Amino acid sequence: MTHSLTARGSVIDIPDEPDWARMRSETGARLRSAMADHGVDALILLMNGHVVYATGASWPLLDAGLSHVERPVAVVLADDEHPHLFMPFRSGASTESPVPDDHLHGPIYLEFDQGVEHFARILAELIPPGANVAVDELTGAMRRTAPKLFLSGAPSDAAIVVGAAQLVKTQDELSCIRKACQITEEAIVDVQKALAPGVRQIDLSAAFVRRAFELGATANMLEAIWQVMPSSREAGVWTTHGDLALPLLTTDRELAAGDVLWTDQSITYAGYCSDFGRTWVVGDQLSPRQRDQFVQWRAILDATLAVTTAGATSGDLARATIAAYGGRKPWLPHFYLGHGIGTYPAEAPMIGTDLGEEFDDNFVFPAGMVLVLEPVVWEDGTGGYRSEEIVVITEDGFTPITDYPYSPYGD
Amino acid sequence: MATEVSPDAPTLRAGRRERALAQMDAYDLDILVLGRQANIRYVTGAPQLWIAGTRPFGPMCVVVRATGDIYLNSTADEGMPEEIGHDHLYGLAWNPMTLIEVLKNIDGAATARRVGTDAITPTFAALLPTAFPRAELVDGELAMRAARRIKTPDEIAAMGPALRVAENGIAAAVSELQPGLSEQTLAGAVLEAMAAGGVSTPATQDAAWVTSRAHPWRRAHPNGKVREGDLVAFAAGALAGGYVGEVGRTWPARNRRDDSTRKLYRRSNTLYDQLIAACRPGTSTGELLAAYRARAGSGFRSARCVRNALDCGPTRLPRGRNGAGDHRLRVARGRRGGISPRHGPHHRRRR
Repeated sequence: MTHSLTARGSVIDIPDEPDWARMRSETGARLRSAMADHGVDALILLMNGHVVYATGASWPLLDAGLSHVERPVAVVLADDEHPHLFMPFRSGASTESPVPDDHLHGPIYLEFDQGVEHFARILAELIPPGANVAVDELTGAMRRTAPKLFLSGAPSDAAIVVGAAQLVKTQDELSCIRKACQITEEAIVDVQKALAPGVRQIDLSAAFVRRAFELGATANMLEAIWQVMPSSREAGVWTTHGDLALPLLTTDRELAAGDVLWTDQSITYAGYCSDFGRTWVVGDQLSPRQRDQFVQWRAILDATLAVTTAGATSGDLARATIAAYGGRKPWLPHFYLGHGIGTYPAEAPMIGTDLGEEFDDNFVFPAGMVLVLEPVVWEDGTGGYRSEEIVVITEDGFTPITDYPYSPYGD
Repeated sequence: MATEVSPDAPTLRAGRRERALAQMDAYDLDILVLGRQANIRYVTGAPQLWIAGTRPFGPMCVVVRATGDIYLNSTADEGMPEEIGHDHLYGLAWNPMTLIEVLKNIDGAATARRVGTDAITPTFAALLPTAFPRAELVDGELAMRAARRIKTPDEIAAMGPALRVAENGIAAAVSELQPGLSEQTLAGAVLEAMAAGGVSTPATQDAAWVTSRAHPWRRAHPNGKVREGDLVAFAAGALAGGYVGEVGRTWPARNRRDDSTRKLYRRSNTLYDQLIAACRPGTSTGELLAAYRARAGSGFRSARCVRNALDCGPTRLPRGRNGAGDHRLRVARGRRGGISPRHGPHHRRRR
């Protein structure tokens, strides 16, 4: 099979299998270093992706609503190499814990006043008086109990600290992300084979999730998207900006020959996300204009990759990409040219958003950052083209993580 | 599942919105700023993209008490209820200040006295006063929880499809159950069947696990494979039409039911019958726990698996032990007390 991308510069070595102990040790060190940089003594983490990062725990995620109630919680202390983990007991408990026994606690229910008061008593023993505390979210009950919970005053935002640590991935995190992508790609092979007129969008979702779990996915991260593109912008769904809608939800709709699909899928492996996107044509019959669209898209991606390296800024990538598309932005107004990925499917940096050019120009890529690039091109009557590729930033270029053919558009 | 994305039915939307506005009155909230998906679905009736796990709080939906107007963070209008016009939609944004500018321009923002949010981050706690300069920012989740606690008849009806999909998920996996299969494959079978039934938005994904023969409430081993005679716990959760349906069953591999398994199932069924019998208006969760303890005996899991209500959307009512104190069951028209049968080794009679 032809590789979809080729590395530029020195190729980094990503282990086939993650070394879990090393990963926890290295990410823990990064997190505590970020805490020191931000003057934070204790982190209280409620967001799933942050808990995964801080503790190494991973689990088959619940939907958003259940996640608020039965949520693992982490407490990270600046002077303790091991995080504290408060783990709900939803189904059969695993015999393996990523933290030492004296750091593993029972469930904590922060939606409720009694749960928060219980938590406050535990925190009073863990966190020294006067410590600077950061938290990533406060429930209503936490707000009501804040004086008892945060003894040294209002907490700062933990998302900023965790985000700083997460920006550069360790070799074992890269291994997890690549494994998530490999599982996704292997599952997608069978899905793409099944693509034919008469198949429902939802059938593709069913086939994908089955295969992904068989191959070792920990969780499905995103409702799988198989969006049928309109014949023109005008004919598409109304949007706030007048450009294309994306993503549109999957339904029972039967696909017809000639439908152009933009796909988007994400699963996790050990808490790390994949992100897959390709454009397909039902029946695989392409017009010359559609082939031209792909050629144009690929040229744009190559222009982006030509400036992708450590030391480049988000602004550098945006400018190179816009130049390759004749001065237009090859991404939708509500999205971006690219984004980071890790324990969340979309982490910083988001490139080309309403954060503005100055923000993008000040965002310098470090080696070890992982970037998902997803330019889109559009011409009425073609269905456009969109695909996603993931690369690791290196000192002198990038190393690709994704590897899936562009059929039926290319090899 | 339909071939088009549609909003929830008008009567379902109207009934829920009425309850939400009544609680805004009760909690004296001029404006509610919502970030939680289930709350947003409750007040808007608009389907949203499903992403697993927690999402950070952001001002994704705004409800104004005085006018009943709803503003929603949605770039597209597909599946949008007619009462939320284009001028009340605002697109996806990555800069928090973009969202703050949107909030500033909402009618009533400048004069609001009390603004509730259903969660908050330190960043938005610092920014929201810019949008609501005269307002005290308070917890709005209690108001939403109160609104959602009692189900309207339309909501009860809307829960049925989610349960059917979850049941079909389990049935599909049970039909494949045999020694040698992995927990992951069985979980994949549950999720595949639910998706084929129209729901690619699971509420839960920990769908199958082999129970330990040595330790109560533990998995036999990580990433386990099913062996002859194992008891396998299945738990399917579907989020369909905005409502969670969860079903759990425990099944012996090869369907071999020896005397000890039969005895276990009988015990479990008796326990359930007792618990369901105890679910009456005015009963406290403490009484439910007492009923559980009285019947379960020492070999059963701690009482945390007792629930005091069928879920509406993805938020649970309070439960005993660490989470909450003693709550009274309240029953309104259409109210349905229920206990999820998903935990522990039990085999309910199949209907």
